[in-house]
Amino acid sequence: MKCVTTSLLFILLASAAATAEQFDLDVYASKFDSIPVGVIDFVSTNGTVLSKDLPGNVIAGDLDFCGRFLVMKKPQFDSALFADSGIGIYIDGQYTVEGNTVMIECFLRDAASRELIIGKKYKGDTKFLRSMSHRYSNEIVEMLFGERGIFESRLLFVRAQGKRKNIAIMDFDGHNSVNLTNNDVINIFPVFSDKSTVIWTSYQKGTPDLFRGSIYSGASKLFIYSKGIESSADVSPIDGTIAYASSRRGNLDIYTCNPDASGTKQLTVHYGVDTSPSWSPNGYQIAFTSDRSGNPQIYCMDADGANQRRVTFHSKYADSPAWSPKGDWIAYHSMSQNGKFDIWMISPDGSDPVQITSIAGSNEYPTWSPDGSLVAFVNSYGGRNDIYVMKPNGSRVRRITSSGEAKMPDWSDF
Amino acid sequence: MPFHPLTNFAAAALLLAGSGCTNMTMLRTKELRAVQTRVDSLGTEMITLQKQMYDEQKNLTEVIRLMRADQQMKFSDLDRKVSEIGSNLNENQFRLSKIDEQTSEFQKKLAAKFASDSAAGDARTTEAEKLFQIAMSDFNAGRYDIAVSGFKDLAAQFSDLPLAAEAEYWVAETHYARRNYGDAEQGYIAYVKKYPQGPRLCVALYKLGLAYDKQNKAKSKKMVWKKALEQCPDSPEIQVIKAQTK
Repeated sequence: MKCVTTSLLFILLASAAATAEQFDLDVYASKFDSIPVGVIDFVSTNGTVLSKDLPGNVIAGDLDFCGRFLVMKKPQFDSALFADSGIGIYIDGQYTVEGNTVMIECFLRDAASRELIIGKKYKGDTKFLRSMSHRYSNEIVEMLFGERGIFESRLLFVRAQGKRKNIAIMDFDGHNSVNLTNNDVINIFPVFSDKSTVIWTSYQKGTPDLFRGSIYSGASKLFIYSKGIESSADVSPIDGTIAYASSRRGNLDIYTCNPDASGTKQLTVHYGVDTSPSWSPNGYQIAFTSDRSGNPQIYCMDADGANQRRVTFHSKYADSPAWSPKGDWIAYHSMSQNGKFDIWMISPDGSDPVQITSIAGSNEYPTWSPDGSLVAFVNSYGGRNDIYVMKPNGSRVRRITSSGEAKMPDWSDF
Repeated sequence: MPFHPLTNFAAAALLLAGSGCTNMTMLRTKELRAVQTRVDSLGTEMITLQKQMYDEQKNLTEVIRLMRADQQMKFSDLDRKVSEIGSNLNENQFRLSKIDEQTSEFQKKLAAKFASDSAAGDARTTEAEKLFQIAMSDFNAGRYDIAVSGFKDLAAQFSDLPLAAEAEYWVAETHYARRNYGDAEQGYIAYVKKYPQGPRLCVALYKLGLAYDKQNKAKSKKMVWKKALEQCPDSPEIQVIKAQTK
């Protein structure tokens, strides 16, 4: 218990310090990369065994996915093995299935004394089994790190099937993917408006317009439209103000409007093409792509259009900016000399550009997890497009879709 | 002019050759004696003259010796003086080298002082930049109360640095971001008055208009944007104003 208490104290203290000072990402990662944790198979209390989505497996997958734990999955508790592996904490539990209802009980314990640290009980329909397990994973992360877990977050993406491009949604780990649109036109650039609403660009009316739809009901309606192009929206995390690209006055510029589409304001006035706005987490600035210098580059400006400035200079093509949740980085994709795209990150003041991806194929459309600990992106290789996730330092790359037809992800809030 | 003895002797010989034997002999003997006397006299004179010549030569030698001695003295004196001059020169050179050393030392100290002053200036600039970054990170994280305090402190403590103007601008910006539009208005006005040629003038005028707009001060907004149009006709903010007032 003393060992666990000490390690927990260290984690909590370190976490508090992290809020006071800004750590280098790598240093931060290395300090918290490998907290060893054991996960024991959950057992059935009444003999009815789950055929899939066993809570122990889901929780082990969550903890491994987030990159903060070194997970050792075992069928049963093994004190000697855990001690040899430096495992100070472990998770076990049980479940009870009755008809379509399942109850799971999850326990985080001290590996040395086997004393309970935190226990939770969940009950619901079996189709929510994964969600219940994710919720317990969130509890563990919040208790150990003092930060919310990402295990109930989701990703929007474009499912490209031939000429059809529909908006789809899936869990953060790629499970439970569902189409939100099902039509034969092009639907692209989906973003979360809030937890339950999506805005995307659709050609349903012939020209690109912005549509808004519900994740739960699937209902959607034309939201922002004109005779020109209305595209690539992003929503302010502070007040819901929508930034988007529009050619309603002839040239493609950045505009904003209120959440109800009223109060339209033009923020950029330039003969170049301005597009792909991305809000800063404090809602005060907008990053966007502009070719006003001759090639597409990342620019930043205040949310009222003032202080427009170029941020990227290192390549001939940079696009799709995504501001990190902590506001200290802008991720984007940039063309290398061989014509391949890779994910880069740069400080909003234009300093410290750094290439993050190096895997084969083009890597595009970065989007941040709500806690800023992961970046999802699209890898295009051999004609297949899949969504991958990695840590912001480029490590722990893993694929979360396998259909080969996923593009343009957007990660939700917690 | 003295008579040369050899010349007298030749004349006597000629006289002897030209006279008769006896008389001639007597005459000749007298004459010879006279000649002999004369010769003796001439010899004596010659010896005297030789002695005189010797004495004169001796005197001359002595004079020359004296002169040489005198010259030597003079040369010696000259040498001494030259040596003295050389010595003085060396002394002067030594003093000059000392002065050079002292000058060099002084210059080094001066350079060190300048470097020290410069380093102190750099250190101040670095400190100000760090404070600015901290305040900006507070701003970016939405910690506006801390940010505005940071920008104000920076502007007050480093009022002699160019960053002070930037900090004052961000004081107004932070008020604007936290939706304290009255304070933002005052902040932008302060910036515009204090830095009429400042790099943020056009933006500050634009933002001042927005702050007026948020407070429903339409006339003030119109007035300040008109001023912005006059002063910053080519700035991107003016293009935005034009687009928004179409």
